[in-house]
Amino acid sequence: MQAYKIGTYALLVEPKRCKGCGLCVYSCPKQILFLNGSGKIAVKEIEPCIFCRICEMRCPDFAIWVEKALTPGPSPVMTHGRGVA
Amino acid sequence: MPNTKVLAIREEREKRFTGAHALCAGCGTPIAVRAVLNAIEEPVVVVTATGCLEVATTRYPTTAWNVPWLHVAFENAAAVASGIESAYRVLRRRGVLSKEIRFVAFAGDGGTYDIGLQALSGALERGHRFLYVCCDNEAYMNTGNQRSGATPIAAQTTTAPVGEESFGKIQRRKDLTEIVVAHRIPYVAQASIGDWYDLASKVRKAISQDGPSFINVMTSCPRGWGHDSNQTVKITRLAIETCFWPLFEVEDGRWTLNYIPEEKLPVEMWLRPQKRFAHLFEPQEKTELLREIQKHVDRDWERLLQRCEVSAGASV
Ligand code: SF4
Ligand code: SF4
Repeated sequence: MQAYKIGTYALLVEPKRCKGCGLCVYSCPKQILFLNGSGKIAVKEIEPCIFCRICEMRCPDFAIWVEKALTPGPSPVMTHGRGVA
Repeated sequence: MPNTKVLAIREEREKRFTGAHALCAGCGTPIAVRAVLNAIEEPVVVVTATGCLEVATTRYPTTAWNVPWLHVAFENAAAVASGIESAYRVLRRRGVLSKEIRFVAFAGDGGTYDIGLQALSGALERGHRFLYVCCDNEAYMNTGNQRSGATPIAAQTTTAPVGEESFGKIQRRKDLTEIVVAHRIPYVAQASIGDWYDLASKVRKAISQDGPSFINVMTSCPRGWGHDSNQTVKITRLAIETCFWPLFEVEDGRWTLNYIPEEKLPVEMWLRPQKRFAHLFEPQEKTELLREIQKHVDRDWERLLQRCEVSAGASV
């Protein structure tokens, strides 16, 4: 699981759960997502993300989601017990 | 208002449906299930008919459901929901239970249009308070794409093959939503994963009825329909924009159109990106048949417009 934080929000992706459908990549209004060499979800750059959660609600496999980060800073955040790897 | 954020926040509080399922990449059904369950505030009990959703979400010993869930057979999701709802009413009357609980049945088009129709009709007629959601992907996809009552004309399926003498399914799909309207239940709607806001708003309306409610949701199947898995939502959106799958609701017999496209697109735009309709365009275009399909869509749309207008006039 990877976490990308800006301020108090974080975008989290769990490539292990991703089936590589590309729905989130296609739907993201900021076009910041892509499928990596092994066809799994990855984040190009987090800065433009508006945390709209469209990717989250479209993902059939719960592999990408937004969380309110508990602590600001670069370390991965984990709340709600969602997707602990 | 149930926009994306509201739905996601609801899910944060309680995760009713999870990713522990084996549905295909880009499947439209879990998108619908999430939207439906997140739009309901009260505790829910879920019933599913046999189908992709049931099989792929409950592989022993795992389950993707984080709510009370029951499956009995293919044909009786509505009957099972009726039983649960009746038991609930009795327990409430006896004072054993006081909680407000909502009941939702999910079934595919096979389990609704064909196999479960009789159970559905009975449950609607008896007036049980539950929401029935049909996840309509227009064929028996769980067993590898066989035609169902929901499969549109000219679609290729394994049991409606394309060849020199045939062009896929030769019959038109039946209008299930209309059949359900004929039961005179409090709330009937047609929705799609191509419009979230509309779907979630309809679920909220449906669940607050004191009686049966029914929502027919178009969910695409990338494998059966033959499109890229990232086009699932786009393709259902095209069905709305071409008026092949209009969004409307019928409340106590009053018809309301929820969306009128600014520019009604030709149905070809919905057909062309799907491989199950490829034979309509290659090796040469079947113009006659395409014109016929467009005529069906136009006629249905006109009829729907009239109905909605007549109801609007009648309710003033
Ligand atoms: S939250 Fe919105 S902007 Fe951010 S990655 Fe997801 S879809 Fe894109
Ligand atoms: S929508 Fe989900 S499964 Fe599909 S590519 Fe994105 S993260 Fe992966």
